[in-house]
Amino acid sequence: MKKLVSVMGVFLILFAVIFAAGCVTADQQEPTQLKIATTTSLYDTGLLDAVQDYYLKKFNVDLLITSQGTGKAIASAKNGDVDVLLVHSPAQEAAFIDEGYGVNHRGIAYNYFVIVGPAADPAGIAGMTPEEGVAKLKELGEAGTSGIVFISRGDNSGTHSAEKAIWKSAGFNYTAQITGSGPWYKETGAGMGDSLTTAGQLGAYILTDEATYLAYKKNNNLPLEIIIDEGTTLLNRYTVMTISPEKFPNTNLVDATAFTNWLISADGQNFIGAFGVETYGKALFTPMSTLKDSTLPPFNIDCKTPVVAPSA
Amino acid sequence: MSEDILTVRGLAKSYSKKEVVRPLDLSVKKGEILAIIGPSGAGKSTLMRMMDTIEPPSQGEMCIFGEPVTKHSVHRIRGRMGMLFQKTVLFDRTVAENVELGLSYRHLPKIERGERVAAILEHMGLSRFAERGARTLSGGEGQRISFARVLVTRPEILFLDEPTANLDPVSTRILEEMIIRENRENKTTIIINTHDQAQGQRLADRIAVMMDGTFVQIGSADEVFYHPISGKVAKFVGIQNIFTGHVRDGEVVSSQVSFCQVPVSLAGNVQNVQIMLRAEDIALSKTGITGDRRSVSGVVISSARSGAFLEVSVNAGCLFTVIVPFRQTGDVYAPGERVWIGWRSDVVHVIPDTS
Amino acid sequence: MGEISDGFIEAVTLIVTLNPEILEIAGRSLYVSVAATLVAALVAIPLGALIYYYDFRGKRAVINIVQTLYALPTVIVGLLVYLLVSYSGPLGSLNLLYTTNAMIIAQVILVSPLIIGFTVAGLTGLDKEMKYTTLALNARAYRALLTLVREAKFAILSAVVLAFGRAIAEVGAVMMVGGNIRHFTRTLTTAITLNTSMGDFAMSIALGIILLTIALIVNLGVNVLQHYNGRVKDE
Repeated sequence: MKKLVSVMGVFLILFAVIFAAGCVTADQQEPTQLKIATTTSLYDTGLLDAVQDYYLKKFNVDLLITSQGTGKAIASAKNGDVDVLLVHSPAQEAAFIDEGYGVNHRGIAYNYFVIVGPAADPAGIAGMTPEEGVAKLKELGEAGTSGIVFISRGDNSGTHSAEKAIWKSAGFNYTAQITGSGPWYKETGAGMGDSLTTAGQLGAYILTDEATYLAYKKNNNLPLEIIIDEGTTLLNRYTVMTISPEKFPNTNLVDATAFTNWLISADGQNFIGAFGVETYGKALFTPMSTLKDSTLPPFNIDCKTPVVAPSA
Repeated sequence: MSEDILTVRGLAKSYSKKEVVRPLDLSVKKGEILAIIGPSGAGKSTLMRMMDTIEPPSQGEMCIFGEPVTKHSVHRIRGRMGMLFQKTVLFDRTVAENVELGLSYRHLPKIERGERVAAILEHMGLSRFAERGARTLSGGEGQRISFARVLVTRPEILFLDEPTANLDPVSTRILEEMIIRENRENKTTIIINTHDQAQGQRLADRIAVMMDGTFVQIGSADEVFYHPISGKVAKFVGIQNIFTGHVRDGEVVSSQVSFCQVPVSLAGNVQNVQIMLRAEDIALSKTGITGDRRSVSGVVISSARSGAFLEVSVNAGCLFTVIVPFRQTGDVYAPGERVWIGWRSDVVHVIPDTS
Repeated sequence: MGEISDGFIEAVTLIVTLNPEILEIAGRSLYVSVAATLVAALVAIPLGALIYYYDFRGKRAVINIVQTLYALPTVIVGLLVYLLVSYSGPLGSLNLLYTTNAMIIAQVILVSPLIIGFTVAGLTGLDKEMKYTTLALNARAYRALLTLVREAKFAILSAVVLAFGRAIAEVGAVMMVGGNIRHFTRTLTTAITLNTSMGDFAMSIALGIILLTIALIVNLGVNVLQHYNGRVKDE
C-alpha cells in the first residue's frame, strides 16, 4: 500500500510538472496567429515548416498550418476555420472564388507534376506526352499485360484533380472509362507520400508532384524514376487566397494580407526559390515571379500586384 | 411490556413480478427480542432491509418510533436503527476507522467520535484490534467489529440478518452473548433472522416463522416448537414424527396406534387430524415401558449414530423416529429387534388436518 | 531492412540527444492526454457512481450503451468535436478549433465511457452488503458513494490509467480537431502519421519508441493496480 502511494505520488508530481510546463509556454509573449489550410503535397515537402520559422522570427506572427487533402482543406476554409488557403487545384480554386469564399488570389510558385515509374519502363512510354503515356498505360493495362499498374491518389486532392485533367485531355471520361476499369488502375485514397510508397512497392506508374517525389527519392530510396516530365497538363500551380470577410468576419485580414504580400514579395519569392537547393541539389519550386507574365495561359494568375485587405 | 416500537401493515416486495415478501403485518415491542426463522429464500432478509428502511417496499406501511416512515422521516428514523448482515462487511481501513464510519456519517465532532469508538471497543473487548487493518481479522473478529460499528451509533432497534451463519460455534456463542448483553444493558429492541431454530430459542422472547414470503406463525418458543400450526411449520422446526390420523371413540389414532385422548383444544367434530411428536420426547426400551405413558411395541428398522445421539427407526404400525442419548444406555439396536416405545400423552400435538 | 535499422539508429540518436522537437511533441502529447484523462475522471467517476447507486428505468440500457461506447471510433469523436467547434458550428465563437483545448475535449469524450463503465463495474463488483452497510449506517448518497468509490479505488484507478493509454495512443480525433499544427497541436501520433507520409522514418520511429515506452509504463501501472485489486479481493 505504501509503495502504491509513493508510485501515485510520483505520477502526481509528473503531472504537475507537465502542467506547469504547459502554463509556462502559454505565458510567453503572444505573437498574433494566422491560420492556414494547405494540402499535404505542399506541406510534406517541408517548405511551409521553413516558412513558419522564418516568418515568426521576422514578423512575430505564428503561422498555424494544418495540412489536409485539397478537398478537406477547402471544406475547412468554407467552415471559416482558417484565414488563408494555400492550394494547387485550379478548378477547385475557381469554384471556391466563384462561390464568394476566396479573395486576393495570387500565384506564388509552380513546378511540374511528373509521371514516375519503374526504371525499366515496361510500358515503354518514356518520351511521350502525358496524354499519350496514360493512353498507352490504359491500353496495356486493360489487355492484362503483366507489370502494368497505375496508382491514383483517388482522394480528390489537387494531384488527383491534375490526373483527372490529363485523362480528360487524353479523351477519356474519367468516371466511365478509368476509375474501376480493372486491376491495372488502383486508387490508394491516401496522401502523396503513402501513394508513392505503394507505387514503389508495386513497381507501378504514378502521377506525383516533383517536390514530394524528390523528398521521397532521397529519404527512402524510392525505386521509381521520372518517366514523363513535359507537357502543359503537368503544370502544378500553387496559389494563395484569403478567406472572404463577407463570409466569415472573423478572418484575420491584417495578417492574411501581409502574408500574401510577403509571399509575392522579392523576399518571399527568393525564399521559395531557394528552398530545397541545399537538401536536394535543386529547388523544389519555381517562384511565380520568374515568369514574364503569369497571367497568360497556362498559368492564368496574377503574381505581382500587392493585395489590400478587403473591407468586411 | 411497553408500547409497540415498530408496526408493519401489509408490507410486501416484488422484484419484476416475483413476490419475495407477501403482504404481512408485524408489531414489535420496545426491548423485545424477536427471532424470524424460516428456510432460506423465505424473504427474511428482504423483509429486514425493508424494516431497516434501506430497501423501499412495493406496498404497505411502517410506523417506527411512533412515526410513519415517509420520504421526510426516513433518515431521522434510520439514524436510530442499525443493521448487521450475514456477510461481514469490512472496509479497507483500520478497525477504528471502520467502527467510526456511522459516526462520521452523522457529522459528530472528531473528538467525540474517537471517544465513542474507543469506548465501544473497550466494552466489547476489542481494543487490541483498533489500529489493525480491518481486512486482517478472522471471521469471528470481523463480525464483532461489524457489530461494534453498529452499536457505536447507539441504535434503539437492531436488525441482525443471520449474523452468525458464517461463524464457527465459538464465535457464534461470543456474538450471541454480545447480543443478549446489548438487549439487557440498553433495552435495545432486537429483531434477528436465523435459519438456526435453536439460536432463535436461545435468544428470542418471541419467534415468527416466515415461509414463502409471509409469516405463518408468531408466538413464544414453546408455541412454535411444540405447537406448530401446520405440518409444514412442524417439519421446519424439526418435528420428525408427523402422521395423518383420525378421531375414534375419543382417541387420536393412526394406523391402529392410539396416541392420546382427543385434546380439548381440538374443537367440535374434527375427524381427520395431523399428529406430531418430537423424536426426543419418545422413550425407547428393549424390555417394555412402564408408568403413565402410552406405549406400543415394534421392530427396529435401522439405527444410526448422530453425534452424541442415536437415531432409531421403529415400525410400530406407524414408522417412528426416536432419538435417545447414546451413552445413557450404551444399547445397540439391531434391525429386526423387538422394542417398546412410549410417550406421555401431553407431548402429542394434534391439529385438524385441513388438507 | 537497412531502412529499418538505419531509421532505428537515427531514432535512438534523436532521443538520446534530447531533440527539442521530439521533447516538445512528447510533452504536448502528455499534457493533452493527462489533462483529458483528469477531466474525464472528474466527470465520469461521479457519473458512473450515480448510475451504480440509483435504480432507474432503463439503467441496463444505459450501461449497455456506455459499454458500446468503449469502442467509439476516434475519427467519429473527431468529426463530432470538429463539427461542434468549427467556426460554423455551435461552439464556433469559442475559437477552439486547432487548439489543444479542442483536442482535450475530444479525448474527454473518447475516454469518458471507459471510466464510467469501469466505475459502474468496479462498484457493482463490491459485495452488495457493502452498499447496504453504508445505507444502514444512515449515510447520505454522496457519503455512501465516497465510501464505496474508495473501496473500489483500484478498479477505478486502473480504468483511469487505461483511459490515459487510449487517449495518448489515438490519432484520429486529435488529427481532425487539432490539425497537427507544428509547435501548437502536433502530438506523438499525428507527428508519426505526418513524418511517415513525408518519408522521415527515423523521426517516426523515434516518436514511436517514446509512445511505446509510455504505453509500457501505462500497462505496468494497470498491472500494479490489478495486483492490489486482486489482493483486496482475496483478503
